Amino acid sequence: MSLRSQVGLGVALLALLVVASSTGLAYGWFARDQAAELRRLLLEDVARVASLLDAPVLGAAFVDPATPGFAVQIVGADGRVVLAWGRDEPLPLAREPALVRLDGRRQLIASAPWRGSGTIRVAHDVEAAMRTRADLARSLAWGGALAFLSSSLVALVVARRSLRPLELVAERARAVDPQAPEAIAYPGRSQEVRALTDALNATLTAIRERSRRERDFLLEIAHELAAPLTLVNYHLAALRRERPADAELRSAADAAQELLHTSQDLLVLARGELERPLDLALVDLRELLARVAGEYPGVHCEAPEPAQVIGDADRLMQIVRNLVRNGVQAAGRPEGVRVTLEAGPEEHRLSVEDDGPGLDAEALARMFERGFRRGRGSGVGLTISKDLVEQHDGSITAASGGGGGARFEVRLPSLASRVEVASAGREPEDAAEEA
Amino acid sequence: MRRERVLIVEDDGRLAEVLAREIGRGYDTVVVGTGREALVRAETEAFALVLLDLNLPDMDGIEVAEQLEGNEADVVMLTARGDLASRVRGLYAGAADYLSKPFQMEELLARVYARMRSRSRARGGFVHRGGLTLATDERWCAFEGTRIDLSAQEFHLLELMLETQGRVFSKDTLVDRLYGAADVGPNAVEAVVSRVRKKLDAAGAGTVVETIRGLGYLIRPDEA
Repeated sequence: MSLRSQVGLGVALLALLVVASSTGLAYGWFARDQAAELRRLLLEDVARVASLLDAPVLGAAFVDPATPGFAVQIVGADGRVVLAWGRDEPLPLAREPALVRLDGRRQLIASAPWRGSGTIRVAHDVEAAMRTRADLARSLAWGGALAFLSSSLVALVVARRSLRPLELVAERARAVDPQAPEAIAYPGRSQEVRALTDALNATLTAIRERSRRERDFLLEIAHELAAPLTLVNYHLAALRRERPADAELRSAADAAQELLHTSQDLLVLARGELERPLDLALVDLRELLARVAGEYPGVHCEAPEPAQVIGDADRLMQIVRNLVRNGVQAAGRPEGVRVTLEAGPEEHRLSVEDDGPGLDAEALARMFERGFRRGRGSGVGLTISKDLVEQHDGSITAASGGGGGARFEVRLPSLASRVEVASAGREPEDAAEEA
Repeated sequence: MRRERVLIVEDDGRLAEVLAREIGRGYDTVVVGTGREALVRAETEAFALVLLDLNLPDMDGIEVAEQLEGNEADVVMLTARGDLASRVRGLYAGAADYLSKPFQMEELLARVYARMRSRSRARGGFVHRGGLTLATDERWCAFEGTRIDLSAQEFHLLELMLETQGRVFSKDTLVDRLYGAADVGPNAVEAVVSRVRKKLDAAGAGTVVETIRGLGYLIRPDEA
């Protein structure tokens, strides 16, 4: 249940309680006072009739015929009506004033003894008074319901309004970039929300500080390792050229190269290079592929045509190398990898297929997630490749290959698709300028 | 003919030695280990290229690079630090090259040779592309023998783009390179590009400066 509806419901219930008890009390008091007043009037009437009967005045009438709803009867010991004003049928006997229904109307009746065994009986029609009371009850009920509804509505609106800053803060918190968490701004004046925002921001600052320290640390390591890695790689490669038959040397040189490229991948992440603009130039994917194929002798390459794109040569190289390296690792040998470069008018497609164990459904779905690894490959390489491909407005997909292995395909927009075409020897820009 | 000279600024002795050995196959090399030494040598001697490690013991490599900006020599920077790398880009905006450490020697040599080649393209004060000739010393431009009159800005644009053919120049980069600190918007660059195109087109050179949608301008390298 949302906080807003909890507050709304709470206030509404409270309003209901207050309205119900106050209208109930008001009605109760009114009904009690009204009943007491009617009783007093009736008993006064009975007493007056008795005193008039004791000292009769000639020609006196107990009931003015113009007074409707008032009846007086003198009833003998045998229960027969001796004298009657206002009503002829006998009135019931009531030692205490009582409310009865006579001829479909509510009447208040009372009696008093008269000359030993007889009785004076008086009836007062109170239908109108009872109606008034019912009207009052009804209007109190309606008013109460209305008060309840309007207060609930106001409560809801107020709750909604006062909780809106929370929603605003939540919205901004959702928009925080986890890579670079910036403080959340709260422009309002609500103290509670400000306290919440401050607490959130303190946490964000701590996270930012921590990740900055981690990044600095990583860069420090990178800096320390950069020269030795470069040197080891260089010397092993040189030795390998001198003694191409030495299997152990080849293994060491491959491992050194592997180490170099993996650390380059990690550094792309650590340096935040994905957030930096690319160094764009005209790049032929076929040339890049030839260079990578040179690093992995044995890989089958099919690249019949040049495939020009606009991109950052280093980054594109990293993409191609990562895919080929991943394939070689999955296949266990370079001969098990086939790379195809198809140049198209709109986009170029580079696919790398291996004859390794292939990808299951989970691997296909999670292939590019950071930290996901299949076999002994680096989980970082493919993640970075995806980021880099997307940075170049391209796309990358993983699928099962025809030979049971895995197949990765990168699509990049061609140079032709990016060049603004001049119309009739005139640039569109120029035309716009003169228009 | 005298071999061209490369100044290697690297404080790691082992790496400096290897760099000197490899680059030394094609060029004369001088190795120094500090920024101050590098500045003194670059000022008093002629180098074609400075290979500059940005992590130096005595001063910030970026500062060295800044002071070398007016120098004849091209600069290729080496850095292992991401923060430096981003500052390098901001500072040079495509004017110089840089390579992240760790690197493969082949990659570094490829960069150095590419720089040297583009330098020799401009050697003798001429840059060529197709029938187009730009005389960078004498400041004239011609297409197949026909002179094309260019303003200083137009000439500068062509010089910049022809010396590094194949690179995409964003409007921001061009504003920076053509106008420096002056407060002009990308419209000024668009106007310069537009005039250059008209003049080249009128001389029969066809489309030389191409627009890459959303990214900037490109002069494709000669099909060699």
